[in-house]
Amino acid sequence: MNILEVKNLSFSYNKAKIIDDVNFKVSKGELFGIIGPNGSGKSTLLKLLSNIIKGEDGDIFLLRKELSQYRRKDLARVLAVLPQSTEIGFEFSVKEIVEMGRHPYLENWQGISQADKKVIDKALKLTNTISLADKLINSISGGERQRVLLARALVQEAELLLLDEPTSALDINYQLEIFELLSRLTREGTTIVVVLHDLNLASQYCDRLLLLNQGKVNTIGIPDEVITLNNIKDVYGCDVEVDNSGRRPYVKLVTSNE
Amino acid sequence: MEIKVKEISIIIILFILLILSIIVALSLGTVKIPIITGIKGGLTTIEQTIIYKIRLPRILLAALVGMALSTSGVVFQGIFKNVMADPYIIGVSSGASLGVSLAINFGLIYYWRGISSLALFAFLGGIITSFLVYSLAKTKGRIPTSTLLLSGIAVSFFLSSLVSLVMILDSGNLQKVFYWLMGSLANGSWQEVKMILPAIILGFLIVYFLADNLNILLLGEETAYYLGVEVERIKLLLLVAGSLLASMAVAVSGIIGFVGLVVPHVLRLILGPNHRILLPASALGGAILLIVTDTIARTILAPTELPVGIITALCGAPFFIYLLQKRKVKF
Repeated sequence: MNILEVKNLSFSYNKAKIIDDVNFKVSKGELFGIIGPNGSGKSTLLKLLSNIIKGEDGDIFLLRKELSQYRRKDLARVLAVLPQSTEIGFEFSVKEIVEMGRHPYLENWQGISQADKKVIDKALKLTNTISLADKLINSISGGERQRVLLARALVQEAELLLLDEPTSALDINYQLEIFELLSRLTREGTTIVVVLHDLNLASQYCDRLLLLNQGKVNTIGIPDEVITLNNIKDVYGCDVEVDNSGRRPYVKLVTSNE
Repeated sequence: MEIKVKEISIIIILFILLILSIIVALSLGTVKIPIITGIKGGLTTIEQTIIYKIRLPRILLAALVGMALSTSGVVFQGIFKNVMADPYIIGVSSGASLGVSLAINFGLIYYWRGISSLALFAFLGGIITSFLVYSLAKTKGRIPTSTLLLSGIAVSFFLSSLVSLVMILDSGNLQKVFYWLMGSLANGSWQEVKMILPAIILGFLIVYFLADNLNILLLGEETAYYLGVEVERIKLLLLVAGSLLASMAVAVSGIIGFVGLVVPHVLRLILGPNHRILLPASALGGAILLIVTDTIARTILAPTELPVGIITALCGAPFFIYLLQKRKVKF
């Protein structure tokens, strides 16, 4: 079943095409990666999928319904987004932040129910953040904070999860932890679209990849089809080695003074 | 978000303090009326008149104005996501006072069931200013303290000069308008109380109803959008309600600064940023602060009265400087 379907999507800014006739489908339970060099339009594409900016052309169908047809709260029940900038200038506790993920299910002033509490506890457990629940959001480390924000997104119980560089500021141990968790979520039926710049993380964990170049789709497919010597040279304009001896292709940098 | 026992206790304590401050303020003044006599019911006719006709309406007006200023401070701090926002600093008070001065100057004073057109003009001036400052201060979707303060001050100066200009053109009312501009409750009567009571209750209810949305807005507009908040509509409602509260205060008492800055700040340090609790606590705290400062204003140099705005500014401005010094403002 297709969760997400993008048809002929285009977007311009100041007359420059940022996204140019992009087409792809994501099916249920997939971990779908969007990769490409800086300025290729990755983050813009994710913003279009999040419905926070509108494309000038084309359609985005989420669960067979056009994005703009959703009411705000209804959309937040099927689509959770974790944006890149996560600055919070207020001393909320971790628990308060995660609880806000239930907002799409609550009326004004409706309290958190026992059922809501179960969902929250489950998300705290999955992200390994139970012990942080009573701490203030600005007193924890960057890795912990990213896990907390992921917990908030999980609490939305959305069919589709969009993540923009969820691990870019994290140490490798946290990167692994987050991606192991994402893999597990997709096995349980959640669909995830993630923007990444780390080609090897993308190759290791994503089921399929979309390689974006100057707003256009260069290649879509499984990592073996996308992470190739020619593709990387085409899009990034640099020479690399691709090691295909492992389970998934692995990109090695070639330095000139070797 | 849930409300904890500690938070309820603080609301109760604030409520008791409010009642106490009202009782003490009733007994103080040029004519001292001992509280004990009042409780025993041994008041003379003159003392009764002083209490019911003069002191009680003024104290209630102080409570309403304090509540309005403090609540609108919380609202503006939430919308601007900045603790330095306050109706006085962002110029909403100046906008409302320009509305009032223009109405006085052009003789546009009408009454409808005890509601003066001055309230309407104050509201118009206040809301136009809040939209103006908001759009001036916004850079790349954020409102940094520097641009907020600069655009607030610039707009405020501009509007204040217009007020001065209007005053000079209409020098007949000069002293009256001048005194009112410094912030004073000296003209407080039951009529003023009746005039602003419905608007302040309405404004507070709108804001309080949106407490959860206000909490989520603090996470940033993009995140709020992803969590299902209709950001633009909620912000518009909050700007209107915040301006309504601040301009009703200005309509009856002129410009009383810093109440909306100091009270929410102190309570946020104690209670945290959850608006379900911060809003009622700030309303009570603002009422108490203004009753106390107004009592000082009318007794400290008795029989001469000071504008209460001088007292709040004397305490509030150093506090503002202290916040700027700390800069790493904690919410």
